[in-house]
Amino acid sequence: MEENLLLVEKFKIQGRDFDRAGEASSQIKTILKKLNIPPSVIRKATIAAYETEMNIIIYAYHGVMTLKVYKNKVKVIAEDKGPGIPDINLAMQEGYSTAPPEILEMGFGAGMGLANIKKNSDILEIKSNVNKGTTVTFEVSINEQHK
Amino acid sequence: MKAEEAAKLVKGKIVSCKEVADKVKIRSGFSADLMSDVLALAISPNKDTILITGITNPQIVRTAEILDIPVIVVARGKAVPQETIKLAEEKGIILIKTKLTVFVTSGILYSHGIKGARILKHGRKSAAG
Ligand SMILES: Nc1ncnc2c1ncn2[C@@H]1O[C@H](COP(=O)(O)OP(=O)(O)OP(=O)(O)O)[C@@H](O)[C@H]1O
Ligand SMILES: [Mg+2]
Repeated sequence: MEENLLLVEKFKIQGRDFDRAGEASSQIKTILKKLNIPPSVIRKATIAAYETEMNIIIYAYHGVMTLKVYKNKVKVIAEDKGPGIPDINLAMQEGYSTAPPEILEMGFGAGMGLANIKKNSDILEIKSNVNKGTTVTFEVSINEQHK
Repeated sequence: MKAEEAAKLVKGKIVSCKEVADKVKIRSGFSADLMSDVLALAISPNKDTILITGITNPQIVRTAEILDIPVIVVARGKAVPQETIKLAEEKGIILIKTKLTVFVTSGILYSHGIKGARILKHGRKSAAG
């Protein structure tokens, strides 16, 4: 429900910008802390955001991550212009990765990112068009038990 | 154990946030070169986990920041880039570099009472090594 929307913030992500990689997720963490979101929700949302951000940096040309904080959930919409994902089911599998060797040297390319996003979110939607781009949307709900 | 003591045990050199190394306490550890494995498994609910890795780029600091990991050991004597040290200073994370391997570093810390970090299993928390 839009009336329960507390905050909207947009972050631009540049493909291959490894110097700033993770900065958006770090800012998301800071924002969620300031809003007094429960720690377990912050943890899940920032892990999922970081994996999403790294995928844009590694695979896409550029993208925008939008953070929307509601009373009862944290939502992130990440839209990128890039090569797209030809087979989403395959990409979701743990261990599947097309990361080149230089990415492995940076500590990425385990093929665990999308699976991590799924594990840490309550709703995940991935839409992709080959040679156009990918949109990853996820939500982490804030339940009564967290409060 | 204090971060300072951990650095001594692994014959390491503290390259960031040295001034707090006698205050920050660690109780558990996790070793990995793939950051998604750390993100998938390790939890540091009490902000007292040490990460031992062979990776040197700034992403190790980002990963630690996201998981509330206060101390990182870079093993195998690799040169730690200036960007990584700078980011660690900025984020208040203690970086230790050592010539020892990941295996030996982990073994030394484990034998001095550092337990395996709590790991996540199928979304649930469990105590394991
Ligand atoms: N935004 C994206 N654009 C294009 N391809 C993508 C995108 N995100 C993921 N992929 C593809 O899906 C694969 C699996 O992604 P996933 O995040 O699960 O693993 P990874 O990035 O390869 O490794 P890890 O995330 O563990 O470091 C990638 O290797 C890549 O081929
Ligand atoms: Mg990934």
